[in-house]
Amino acid sequence: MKYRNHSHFNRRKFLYGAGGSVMALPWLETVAVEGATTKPKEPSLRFASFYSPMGFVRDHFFPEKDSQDFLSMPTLSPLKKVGDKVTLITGLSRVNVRGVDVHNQCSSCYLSSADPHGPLKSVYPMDRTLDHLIADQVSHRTPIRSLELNCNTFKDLKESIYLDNISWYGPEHVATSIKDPRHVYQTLFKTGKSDKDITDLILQDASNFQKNLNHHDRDKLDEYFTSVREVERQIEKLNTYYKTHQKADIQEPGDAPMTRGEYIRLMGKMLVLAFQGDLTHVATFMLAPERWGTPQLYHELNFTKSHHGLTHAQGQERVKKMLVQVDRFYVELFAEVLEQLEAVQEGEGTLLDHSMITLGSGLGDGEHHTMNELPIIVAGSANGQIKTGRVLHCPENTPLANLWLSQAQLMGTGLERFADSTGPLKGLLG
Amino acid sequence: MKRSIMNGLLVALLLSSITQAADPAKSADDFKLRIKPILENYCYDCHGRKETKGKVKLTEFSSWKDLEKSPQLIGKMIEALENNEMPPEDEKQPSETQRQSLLTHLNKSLNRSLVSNQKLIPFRMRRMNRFEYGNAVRDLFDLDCWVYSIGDRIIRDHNHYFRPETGKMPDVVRVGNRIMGLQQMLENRLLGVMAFPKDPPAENGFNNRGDHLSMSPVLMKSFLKLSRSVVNAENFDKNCRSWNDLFQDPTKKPAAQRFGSITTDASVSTRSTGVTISAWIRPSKTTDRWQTIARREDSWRRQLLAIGRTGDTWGLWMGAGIAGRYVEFGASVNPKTIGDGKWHHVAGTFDGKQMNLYLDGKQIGSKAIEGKLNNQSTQPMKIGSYGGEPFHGDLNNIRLYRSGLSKIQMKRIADGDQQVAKDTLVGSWKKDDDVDLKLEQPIKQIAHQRIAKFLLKAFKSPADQTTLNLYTEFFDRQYEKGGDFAQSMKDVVSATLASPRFIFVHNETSKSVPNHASFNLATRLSSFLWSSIPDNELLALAGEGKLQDTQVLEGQVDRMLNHRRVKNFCDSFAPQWLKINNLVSASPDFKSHRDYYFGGDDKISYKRGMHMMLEPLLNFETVFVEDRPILELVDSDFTYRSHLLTEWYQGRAATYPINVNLRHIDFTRTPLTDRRYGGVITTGAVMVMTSGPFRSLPITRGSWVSSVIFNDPPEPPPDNVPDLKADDKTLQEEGLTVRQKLKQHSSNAQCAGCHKKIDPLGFALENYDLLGRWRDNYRTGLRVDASGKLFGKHDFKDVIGFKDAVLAEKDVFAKAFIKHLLSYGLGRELTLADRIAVDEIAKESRKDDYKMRAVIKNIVIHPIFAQRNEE
Repeated sequence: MKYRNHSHFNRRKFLYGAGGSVMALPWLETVAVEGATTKPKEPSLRFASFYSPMGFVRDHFFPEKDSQDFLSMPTLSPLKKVGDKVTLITGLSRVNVRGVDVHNQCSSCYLSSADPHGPLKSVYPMDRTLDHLIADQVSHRTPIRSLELNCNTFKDLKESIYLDNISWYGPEHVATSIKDPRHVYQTLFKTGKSDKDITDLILQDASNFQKNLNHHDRDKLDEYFTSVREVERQIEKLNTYYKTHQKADIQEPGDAPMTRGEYIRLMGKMLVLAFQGDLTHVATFMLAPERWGTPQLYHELNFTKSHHGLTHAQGQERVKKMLVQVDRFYVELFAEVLEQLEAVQEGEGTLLDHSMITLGSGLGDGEHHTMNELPIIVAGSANGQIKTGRVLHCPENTPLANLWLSQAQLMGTGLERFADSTGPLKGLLG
Repeated sequence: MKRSIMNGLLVALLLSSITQAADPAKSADDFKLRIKPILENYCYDCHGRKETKGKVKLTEFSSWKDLEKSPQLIGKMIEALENNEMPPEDEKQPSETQRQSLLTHLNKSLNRSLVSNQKLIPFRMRRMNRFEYGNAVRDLFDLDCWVYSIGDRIIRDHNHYFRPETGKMPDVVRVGNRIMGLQQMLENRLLGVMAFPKDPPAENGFNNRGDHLSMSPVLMKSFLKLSRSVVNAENFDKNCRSWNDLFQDPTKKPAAQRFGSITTDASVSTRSTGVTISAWIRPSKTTDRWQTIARREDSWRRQLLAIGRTGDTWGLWMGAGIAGRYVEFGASVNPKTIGDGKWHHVAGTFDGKQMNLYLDGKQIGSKAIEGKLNNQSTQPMKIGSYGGEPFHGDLNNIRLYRSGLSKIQMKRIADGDQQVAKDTLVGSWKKDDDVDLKLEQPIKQIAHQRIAKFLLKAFKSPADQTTLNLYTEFFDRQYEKGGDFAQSMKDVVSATLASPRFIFVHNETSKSVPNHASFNLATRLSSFLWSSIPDNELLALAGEGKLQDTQVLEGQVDRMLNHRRVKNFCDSFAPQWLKINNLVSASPDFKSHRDYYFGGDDKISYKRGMHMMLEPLLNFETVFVEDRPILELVDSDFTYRSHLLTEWYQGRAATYPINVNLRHIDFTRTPLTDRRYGGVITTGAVMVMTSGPFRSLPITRGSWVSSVIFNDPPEPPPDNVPDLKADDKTLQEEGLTVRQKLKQHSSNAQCAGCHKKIDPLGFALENYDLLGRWRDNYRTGLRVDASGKLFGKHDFKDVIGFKDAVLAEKDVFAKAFIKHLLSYGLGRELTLADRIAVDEIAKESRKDDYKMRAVIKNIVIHPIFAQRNEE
């Protein structure tokens, strides 16, 4: 029996907690500004973080030290069309907490990168993730606070919640991700009917109920309160939104079977539309879950293999060849999203210019479980602030948290520290 | 009787350890005498004197009192000693006597430490997972169908085999596999109701863990949607067996009473030449579901007239037993015509040659069928009601004849002639003029009473007046708006289903709820054993404050274990305990292991795993239903196998026909004398899911045995684990077995510790190939070596010896199993402090030979679960 000290985490106000100033700007004001004849406001920044599990084969991903020619690397060459808007960052690392499972940490701690030497708030060094810290700040701008997309289609669901989620409100409090494209469609493009009769009643019921509960359970009930209110708020905001906005030109996904590529592409397409239409400005996107020993059918690559299995056997040339194909497959799909963002003109730039889209992994090397030299690409210049089209070589073992801190700052959170950061990432801004 | 003595013992045991703990002075000297010399000799150097390895400084402690402030450290020391991890292999070792003596004293010390620091860990509120939610909704309304069909529940029962009250599993069970089988998810369920996503299990745990079951806007949306879609599902009314107690408009007689029945004399069975059912109908709604006009139940000889949809046809239907079988025939009718609010005449006849259907005097369908009418029953023919298929609207002048009337006769009846064929008229029914009931109470008052009763069940404890008012006032508002009693009640029910009191499994601390501790216990019991809400009996006992009485509690546990709802426990606990979902994704290489697949290709074809998966689950259910010792999960003299599986184990599967019935699979109880089989461990399911595409994976198997059987999941592997390179080709070239290869690999000191523990567990199973079949030799021709040593003390040669070794360590297995059960029952991860409870439960259960029910009962009545002193 292993004893673990779960320190108490306050779940209260998990949606609008840390940032504090919810609705500082009423959302309608921004709409009004857009419609006004005065000089348009600076476009809003969009933030998305894509996750690919178990790292990338390094010698196909990273160019030689000091080289800037990342676009000729086999895995990264699909980025060519938008290469001048992409930054490859080397030298980023995280610290693995020993004694607990590596893969679980890779995904569940990727975006929080909590201080591994600090007190553990759960089994793993988890914390509120970057996307939610940012959403705290910017969600007043959009009807949907944030979007958590996940392209895990495994039927067996045998693995833990940590491997399947990169977005967390806090330790042990997962931000439920959406895997079903139709569900994503309905979230974004259907307004839904407010069920005020019922929600008013149950909120009153809940506040009576709260009196019967102890401290810990009240926090749990707060998840409920906040969730019910958020559902109502979202419906209200979407209804207002669609009074002045056109529905995006996309059909509701049907039942027809899709290939792996088609499925991820569709999820990506909806993300682009969500950003384009200002439905949300914050998203996470899991291309596939971490570890998961289950074989995956890659229709486009014409084989069924366990991605995890491949990474461990990459010492064999034959296996490595397949693994590189998987790596490239995911980068291609990522590149397609970037190209779509690039194709949307917005003011004087493109949607991609007004975004900060990261693709990365929580493992540096899937064969050896190392968390140094993490593969990280940042696309979009965040409105001209990030210098793109290059490789940013960072010193070895630069904390990943430094990049997250920079991103949090670029998104306007005003944070000065992020987990084990030692400062904003040097050289990121141009 | 025996039980109450046992409880006395338990209390005494707790008390005695408390007294010991209260007097540490007595044992303080003991520390220096008993263990300090040994620690000095073997541990101090690294842990305090010269170094402080692993942040452990043993030199700090000079008395039991000191040491007992850190129960976790004592736990660590015990673990290290038990596993022979400390002192490290290359250091000087204490003698076996010294080691045992250390362990004995440390264990005592740990118990003292835990008891003195003991607090009952309160139960935390958590939301239901989707399995529980489906069960709770089903039980709340006593539904005659599933709420939604989910793969969480693997075994589909096709012949009602699961009857725990009989204490016996039938010899033949007809089952399907929902998650791997063909069309097993197509079953009777609420239409248009979507489940929320499955909750993943905790690592080495279960999917009912409080810390994992949190709430988010995305999930809340699903819950809100469910709360509406459940009660408004097209087929909800029909399947709701508690309809009359909740939704039925009290001013109207329920269908069953509103319409009477037709009683006939014996001439029906002796003198019938055919049958005619003639009726006047005025339906108030025409949905797709069947509405009964008249029906007499008599198995396949039943006779009926009804409207509704079957397949593509919405129409008028007649059914009767003819020439030894049930014949049903329908003629298309436009539901709009028949539902236009006017009276219509309908009839069905059978005259020995033809079945004819009539609408308003016109023949609308005819089916030739020659034969004698099978007409034995003289039971009354019920009007307008049959189970969940009541008639909505009005019926009148229903007539039953013992001959098939002619076209002309039917026309005359439709025109209003009452005198037609009076000689064969055997009975009739006419509508009462006074359909509306006189209410003794105002209608709202009736509604409010029903709501109070319903909320008690949905909320698992009585709601306070303020809360109750919220719901009753909501009813009043809705009723005043629409005047539709049933719909207003449905709105109230929707709100109830969205309430946190329903969605969460909660323990209220408020003393304002009378007998709250009893209600909390009822909820825990029903979550543990039924994965659902408490039923009326539990709630009634809780309301009287009786549930915490040991005898009452034991009686209830017995009742619950005999109730069919306990299938939920088997469906939820067993697959998770066995990690059986791993079999879904097991993929033996399609090219080299073609016989694992039924046909097609590796993407679309069905796998033998579909059958395999059911074997250990059925064996678990047998141990459960028949209250056998849990050791039979390791070694049993029976197993359940399909024909296909039997052949498979005999290596004859390749000859099996491709077109097997994939839906209804008969599993037969098979007595075993061959101890290589039986129990759960050596089943094909476990062997396949712990193998890779090309070979068995001994480490994975060892890890499975360690986690599942001994509840001791290995630490995660260190980084830098190189690939084993143990594919057939490499092994052939090197002339090594996997075992020899692995030995090279794990001789590395860093890995040796763990591998010493898990490797023997995995290699014990090495005689089963990756498809679960016995082999003496590898494909390379080299002999399989399955020998080893369990816990460093029981040598074994092969898997039978291994089973013997596990049985020899039955207390270890039992404790491990109890820990799994307890963690599941408490909905949380166990901590070191729970060790006392586990030991006590095991000790008690041992007296009953570790029988399954004794184990479960001892958990439930133990203070850790029952929490009688809860305040």
